[in-house]
Amino acid sequence: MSGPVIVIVGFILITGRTLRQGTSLHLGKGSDEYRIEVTTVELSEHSMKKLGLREGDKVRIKSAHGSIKAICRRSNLPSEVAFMSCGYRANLLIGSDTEGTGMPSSKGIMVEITRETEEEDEV
Amino acid sequence: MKFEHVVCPLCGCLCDDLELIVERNEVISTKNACALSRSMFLNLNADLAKPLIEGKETGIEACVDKAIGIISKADYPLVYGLASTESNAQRKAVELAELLGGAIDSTSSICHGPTVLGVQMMGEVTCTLGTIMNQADLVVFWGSNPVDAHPRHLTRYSLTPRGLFTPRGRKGRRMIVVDVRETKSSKLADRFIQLKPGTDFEALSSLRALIKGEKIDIDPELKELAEEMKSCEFGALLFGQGLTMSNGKNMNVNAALALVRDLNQHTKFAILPMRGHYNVTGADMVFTWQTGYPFAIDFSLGYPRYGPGEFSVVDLLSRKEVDVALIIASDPVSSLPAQASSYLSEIDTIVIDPNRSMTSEIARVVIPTARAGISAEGTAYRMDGVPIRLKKVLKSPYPSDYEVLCKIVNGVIDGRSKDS
Repeated sequence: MSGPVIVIVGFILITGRTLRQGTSLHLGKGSDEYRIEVTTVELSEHSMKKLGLREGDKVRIKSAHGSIKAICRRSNLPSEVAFMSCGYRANLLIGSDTEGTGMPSSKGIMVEITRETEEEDEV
Repeated sequence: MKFEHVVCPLCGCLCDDLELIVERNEVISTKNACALSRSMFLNLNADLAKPLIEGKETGIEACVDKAIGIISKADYPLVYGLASTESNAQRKAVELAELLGGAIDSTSSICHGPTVLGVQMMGEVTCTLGTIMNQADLVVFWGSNPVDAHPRHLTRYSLTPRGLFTPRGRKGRRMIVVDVRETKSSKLADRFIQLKPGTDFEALSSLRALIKGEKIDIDPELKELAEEMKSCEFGALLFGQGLTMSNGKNMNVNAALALVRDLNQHTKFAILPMRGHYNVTGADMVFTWQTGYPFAIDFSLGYPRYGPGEFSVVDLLSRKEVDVALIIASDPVSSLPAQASSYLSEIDTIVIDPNRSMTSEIARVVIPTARAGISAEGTAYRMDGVPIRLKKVLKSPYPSDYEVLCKIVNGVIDGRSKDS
């Protein structure tokens, strides 16, 4: 899809479990099913429209700790929220500061999301 | 061959009513298993680990000897994982960490560690899942999505089953979900309250104020929730990582624990964490009875010291404070923030696991084992702290986690005797 690249800053990324992630895990973390599930980001219809995205399009997600490519999927989320299945891909966006608790902040990560334009790279 | 009353070693529900049909040492069908459990049992051989040293396949004895050699020379090793193995192995891992003067942590620190911190500060009004099934007429899931993470929780314990004082099952029970997003669980609820991310502490504190009779200007839905919680016969607040991983962490849990404590001035109410891995509760239990502390424990001074944020896995790895990592039944390369897990490829990492994992891919030594609860017996603790005996239903060519850890402990002791 051509057109200007729109960036939405200030998304709140929530990571969590999904049934598909839990079932595909047992096929091996190298399996396509697992890899696709943990590489998928869910966005609201409003956000997808604003970013000029269709389901299956690729996006770039950046946090203060890293940057990843992901495939987008429509979901019934608030417009400021993005959701990813927990896994190695989302963990590239999460910092290691545990604020003295041992627990990293795996939910509520501020991220920037852009429509990915480099079509040649595999997600 | 048919096996009945098999315990599922997957999530903290530890469902103990599974039936398995086994042919030629493979599970070919399951009954009563959820989608997660069925996928595990039917794909047990999908991605098995092999004994490896430096990526080359060898014998298991050679791997164990190599691990003993590496770990004996470590200055400050980390023993980590242990939520997906049985409690004898957990006990032996504590013995090894103490023997080595290292640190030990379980995956508790990256799931419900803040819950443990909260309970240590506040105490908890708790009960078993059986009590919820028999008595609860109100269940509140807060930051928890059981349909995806604990698929049989609702049907076995908390929503639909008929109990002694809940003869009408689902019809006699109200379900409320509080979450930042709509989930499959919220769609089943009688009431769904959607919070803005990061506002759990405020919502829980507001509920406490309302229950104490304070007049506050707040969302009417929270006012109705407060009234509903006060007026039920027996309520249960079941919370997930929506509280422990979000801003506030242990303070969110504190607020939830205090809310439930306050509710007991009006009615009966209990609170339970929705624990993930099947024996992560067991890791807390075993570590506590062995050392006095539930996770993030250091033995470098010769006695146990407790230090979440200091001796917890993410902190030790991100600060590069350990020189050897022994990973048991866990995959930290996949499950920890990359800033922490990347250090595992810089040091000598040893993996003990039945399955291949992203951590075994970067490990110097991989020791495959018989999977606890499937190819090895043992005990695991359900999310409510009830111990359940795991069955052995399949044969494995490999020893159990416990047997491997015994060999490593004995090998370290023998090595020291020879040196002295």
